Amino acid sequence: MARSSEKLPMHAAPDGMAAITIERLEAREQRAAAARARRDWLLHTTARLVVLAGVIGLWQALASRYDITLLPGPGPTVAALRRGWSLIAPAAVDTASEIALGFALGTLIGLLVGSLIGQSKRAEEILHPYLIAYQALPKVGLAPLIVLLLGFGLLPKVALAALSAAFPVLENTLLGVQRVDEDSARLFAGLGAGRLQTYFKLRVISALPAILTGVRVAVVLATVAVVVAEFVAGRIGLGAVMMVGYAQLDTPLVFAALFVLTAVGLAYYFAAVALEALVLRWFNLAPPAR
Amino acid sequence: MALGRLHAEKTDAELFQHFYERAVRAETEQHRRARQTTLVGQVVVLGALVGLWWAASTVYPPVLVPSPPATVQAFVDGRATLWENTPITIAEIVLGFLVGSLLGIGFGVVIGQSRWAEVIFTPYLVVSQAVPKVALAPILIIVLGYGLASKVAVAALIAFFPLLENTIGGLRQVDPDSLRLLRSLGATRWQIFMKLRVFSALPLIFAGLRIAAVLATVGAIVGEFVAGNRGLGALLVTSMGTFSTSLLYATMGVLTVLACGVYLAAQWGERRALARYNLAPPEA
Repeated sequence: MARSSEKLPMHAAPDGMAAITIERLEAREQRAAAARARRDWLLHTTARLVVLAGVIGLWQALASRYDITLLPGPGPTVAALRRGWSLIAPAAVDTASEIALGFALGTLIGLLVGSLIGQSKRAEEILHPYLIAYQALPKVGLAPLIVLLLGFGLLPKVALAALSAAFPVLENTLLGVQRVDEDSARLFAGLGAGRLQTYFKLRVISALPAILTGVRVAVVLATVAVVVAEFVAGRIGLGAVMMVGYAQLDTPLVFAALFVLTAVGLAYYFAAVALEALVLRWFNLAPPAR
Repeated sequence: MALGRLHAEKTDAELFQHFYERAVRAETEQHRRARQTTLVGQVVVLGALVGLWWAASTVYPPVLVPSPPATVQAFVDGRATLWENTPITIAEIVLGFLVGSLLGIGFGVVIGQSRWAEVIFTPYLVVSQAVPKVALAPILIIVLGYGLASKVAVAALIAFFPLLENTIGGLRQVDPDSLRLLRSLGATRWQIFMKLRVFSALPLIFAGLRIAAVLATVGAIVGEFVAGNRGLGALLVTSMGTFSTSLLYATMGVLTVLACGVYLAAQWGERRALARYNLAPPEA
């Protein structure tokens, strides 16, 4: 049903001008829409960059008024990054691996425990107050206790990150595996699917959007937990570098370490966002409604 | 038979009443029994946790895992210290929560006024979610000193963002039909804001307040970790440094109770506020 086959009344075009057809009009419309989108994007990006430049300008202006110990400007911060690179680079590697390990461990624990508790309504009811207490407890508050138990190395940071990261995954797994489309559940039961089959082929899959949201939250929480543990233990990682700078009133170093830490945190966060999009597309699922 | 006798003595309505009440009684009894089982299970879990702790304390030296009685003893011995430090932490949490959420709502309202501002700030808001804001604690302490102000600032900083985000989101997601109705009735921008947008934003703002209260607790504790002077967080770090492990455990207990209190109070507040304005909670 190509539109070109339809005989449209052709208006007599003046010399040198093409006749008006549906295709032309549509193409023009599309071009206009694309141009509008491009213009909007350009405008928004420019505005965003202007805001960014404004913030940096404000930072510079404020920094020039205050002492470098109180507020170092962009220049000294970059200088500190160069000067302290031999300190910051290995610390960044430590921090990045602590976050990755703690996040992986916590996610695994969250998935397992959430799945187990999700098997039984009774178990969920019994554990409910404990889950609430676990949720309410600021996990980073456990840092001194865990440092005391596990020492000053990699282990306490990974443990605290795992404790922090586990909860959102646990909660969303628990909720997700229970919230299943009833028709699908009946279909599975009718086709004689076993409990395990139903669990892995229906419940886990349909819980994936919720689980992945939990995973995204878990990445951020793991990062926070690692930094706090490094503040408290103060031996390895970017948090420790920040504490060194803080103790020596070397504020530019604190700023430099903070920026590297922010970069690490952002990289992990966007990796989690990308993973979420990828998995959802792979399983052809919609993201959870927000 | 009982049924026959009942038929003889009672009217249909009375009969219905009789069986209805019996069914209700049976159901309540069943509920009660289920609740009882759950309660027993909860007590068993608590017992198991304490038992596990006790067992661990016999295996590990008291400097790592003090026994439950030793911890209670430390709580009793250290009650003066705990009594002194707890109000400081509470004050930091409350002030940080108030400052952070007021600023968050304020900025949210300003940014939410303009579609443009929102579009411009969105990527920065996304980035702000991923940035570990507590890492700013050392800087805030350098700038604001070791006193109350710096911890309030840390708590306020991380309480700020959920409110900023939820306020902007809430002001935008209004029912389009209501908006059209108000517009067609000639409502001004101010009237639409006050009578429609604010109310449709309230559930998300209340949810933001609940999250902010919990985050303010985290902020206050981390601030005290770094500045290590007064408050429960400072007490935790000090007792870690001096290996006063039983005091560390006792302080952790107080902190747990405090955090649960903040959480439950925030939840209660959210529910009350929603009920007050007859609103449904936002969908998760």
